[in-house]
Amino acid sequence: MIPSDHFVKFYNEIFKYLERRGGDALDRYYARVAERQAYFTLDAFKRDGLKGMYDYWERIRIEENCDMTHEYNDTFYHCHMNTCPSLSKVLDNDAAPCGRYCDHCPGWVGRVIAMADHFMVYDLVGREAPQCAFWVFRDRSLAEDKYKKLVALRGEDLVRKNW
Amino acid sequence: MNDMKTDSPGARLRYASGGELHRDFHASILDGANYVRDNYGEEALREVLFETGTKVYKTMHEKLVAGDKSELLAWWRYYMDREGADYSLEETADGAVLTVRECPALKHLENRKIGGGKGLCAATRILNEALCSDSPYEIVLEETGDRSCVQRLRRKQN
Repeated sequence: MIPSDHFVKFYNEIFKYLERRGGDALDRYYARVAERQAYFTLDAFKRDGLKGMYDYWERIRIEENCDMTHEYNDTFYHCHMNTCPSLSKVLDNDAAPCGRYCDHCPGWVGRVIAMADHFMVYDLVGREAPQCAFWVFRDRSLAEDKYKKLVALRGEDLVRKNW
Repeated sequence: MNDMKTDSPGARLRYASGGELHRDFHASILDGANYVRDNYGEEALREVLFETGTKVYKTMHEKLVAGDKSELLAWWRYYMDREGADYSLEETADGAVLTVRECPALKHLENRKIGGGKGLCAATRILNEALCSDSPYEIVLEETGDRSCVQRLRRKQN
């Protein structure tokens, strides 16, 4: 049995395999992960909107031992990962990290948020430091404004959107 | 590094996680393995699991290659305890016997009504093969029920 604690190290090996395959192999896997994660999240996201997202990531904060802060209001949900446990485990590893490890999060989160008819903007911050942040909006124009500001700050490679 | 001394003399775990468990990761492991096998074939899944067994678990693998089973036994004991398994682990003259009466991964998948859990047993067989590759050991996994198995670590038979 691979312990549940070690899933991300196995995940990292899948990413490296898919990266070696090239093309859109990684992106197609993110779509599959989104399909599976929707099983756990989409009903609540559709039913409860931004509060449903807060509730989901609150459970994740506890179960995945995340050092994160998050909040929601009538306009947006915002999650700031101070120290990402996932990338931290991948970096504390005798195997090498996948260079694009962080991309899987916006890869699946963005798709599920889109299924719930919301708009996500994701700031990867950097791929070697276990920190990131994302925002979810009901209103696309607010998401577009956030995206433009973040791209100006980070550059396009480190900012993701789901529309 | 998150080393942890265990109760086995000389055994150190390279990774000993603490805190809460996110048991849905068992479903993610199953789905990841299924995805690789279904889209790229059995050999691709073996490649991913061999990388995991020999590089992620580098220290455990290297010890087995050197004829030292201590880290594997410590790893089995630590994570079976942490996941709340009903199990026993008995050292034998040439290896050990891990008897899992209720597998925590398969139990969680059933609770979540996720089918195909036996795919995890198949992945465990390949991971075990990777851990023991180029070593004097082999691990023979026998499924003994819906959620149970016996894994025998023993010297390879020539």
